[in-house]
Amino acid sequence: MSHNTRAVSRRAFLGRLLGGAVAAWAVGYLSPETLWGQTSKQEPQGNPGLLTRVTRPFDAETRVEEFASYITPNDRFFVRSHFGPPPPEQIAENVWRLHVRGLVDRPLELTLKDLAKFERVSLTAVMQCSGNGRAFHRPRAPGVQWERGAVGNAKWTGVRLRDVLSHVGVQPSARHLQLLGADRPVSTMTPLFLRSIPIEKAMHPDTLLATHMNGEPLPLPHGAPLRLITPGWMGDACVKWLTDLTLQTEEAKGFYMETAYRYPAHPVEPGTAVPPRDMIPVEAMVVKSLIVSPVSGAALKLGPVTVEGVAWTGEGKVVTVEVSVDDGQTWANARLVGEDAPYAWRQWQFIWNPRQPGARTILARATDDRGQTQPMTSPWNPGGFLWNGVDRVQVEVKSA
Amino acid sequence: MIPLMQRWRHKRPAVIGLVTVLVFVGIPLVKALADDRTGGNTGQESSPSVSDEQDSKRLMMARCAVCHSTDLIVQQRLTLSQWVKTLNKMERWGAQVSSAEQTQLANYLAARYHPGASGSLEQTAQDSLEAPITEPAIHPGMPEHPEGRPDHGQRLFGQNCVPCHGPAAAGGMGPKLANNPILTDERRFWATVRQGRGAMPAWSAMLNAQEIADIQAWLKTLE
Repeated sequence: MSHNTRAVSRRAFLGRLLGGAVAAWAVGYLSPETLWGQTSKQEPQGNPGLLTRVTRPFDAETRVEEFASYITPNDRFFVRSHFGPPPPEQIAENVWRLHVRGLVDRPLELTLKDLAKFERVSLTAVMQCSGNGRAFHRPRAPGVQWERGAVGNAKWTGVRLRDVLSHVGVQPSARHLQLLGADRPVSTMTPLFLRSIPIEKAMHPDTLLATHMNGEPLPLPHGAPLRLITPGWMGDACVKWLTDLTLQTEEAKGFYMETAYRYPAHPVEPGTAVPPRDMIPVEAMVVKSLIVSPVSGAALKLGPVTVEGVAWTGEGKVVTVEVSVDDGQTWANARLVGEDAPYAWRQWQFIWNPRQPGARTILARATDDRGQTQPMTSPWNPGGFLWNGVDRVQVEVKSA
Repeated sequence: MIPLMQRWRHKRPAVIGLVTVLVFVGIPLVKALADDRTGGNTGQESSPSVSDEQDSKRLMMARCAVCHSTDLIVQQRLTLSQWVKTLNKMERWGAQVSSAEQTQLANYLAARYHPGASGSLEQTAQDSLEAPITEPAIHPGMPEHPEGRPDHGQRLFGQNCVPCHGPAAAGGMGPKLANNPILTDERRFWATVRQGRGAMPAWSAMLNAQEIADIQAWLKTLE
């Protein structure tokens, strides 16, 4: 513990001293990882809750065991960005501004203090990387090979995007809200992470400009000082280090909106090339569950064991979670427990009483109020997005 | 330094335009010619020797690790055509890869990180550890810190260092090097370049002593 604290304060010191880009480097410098030797077994920054997928820019997923907690703590929350965080001095409170412009009546430049004048609201919502589970798609899709942990459940606090947009006066011709953060690629030839959401989602009362995560100011890796929260939607919409909101008639231009984060409107044969006109943006989450305990590879004793996990969906509500211990031939309902909030995940439990020793597989699948159920294997798509195949964990039941 | 920066600012649009033209027109043209000569890039390879592997690994480090760590690369499982597509994208995005280097990288990556390769990410990372990169042979009789040639250094800097340290070494993702005290701290300069530091790759695998000396000599001319 003291080791962790020291490592963190050393990093924070370096970060203040040298700026964000170098701080991102320092992660690699201070940890035992080398650019070559990174393995997912190693723990970044002495943090046992995260599995590093990419050392620089830093991408890491949460160990599934951590999801035994309803709220995923900030320092255990998965981290994903295309270019890493901007230097802290660029988002310091005295220099940071949110620009709101485009098809608006009164273009505005807002400070954090200006934002604080709007009504403060909080909601708990799942944040999930669009590529969570990409490693399970076959054939393999290029991109970060996320397994099960590029997801988390946090309480987000901020102001309604709708309130800010109403304040500037959105013109009727505005159909999309373009979003840009302060992060920048190494090469000026690399496209910016320019994204947009349709005006309906922007004006939804639950869409937030968040300044806080689990009661703390947004940490730098999670988008300080401001990130968009689109509850029920995948993380590709939740732009971090937000500085620019532009109202416009069209979707954002450029690679990250026009090419990336899209999937076929209709299912395709795995491995097929899909014409761009048949691709639509990744938006709402699909229904999904995770088995949190027992963990994969656990050795269990004969006798009752509590299987537990979490389940969530997009804009609906999880209504059932089922468990199978016979490779999907029969399913039994798990009990939904704990907090029941829109957009958050739901915890569940199931008592299993294995009567024979041996290797066993536990399967879990969730169903939502719109009739969506997890398939055995998720529909393949070229970008490897939206994996929601039935979750599975292999365990060994011992006789004694 | 000031005249150089002014010149750069003045010429930047033209330079960027030229680079863009080179990338979008030049590379495909050169590739088309090269493919024509070799009968196309079939992806066939004679069994690569250990030194070829080392060379390709060095190349991957030098060309790709400028923007992202190589763990992102070795976790992929792609076909040759997917690797070529990825390399083309990275070149459009600023990776400085020649036509010959692209062929070498694509073949190397497709041979190791293909759809049939081990699915275990841990194993892959372990594999990449097994064969440590060795320094390219230094010509016998070459002094450890040879006399640097600034004109060569400027060219080498442009090919290898600009993406992080910026044009005119004015800094970017990496620190400003013009006028940096490290230039006159022989031990620290050579150790940093050769062994890397933090996110900076170890260049001993990619640049020989003469080339490092050339870059150092050019950097010292900057004010």
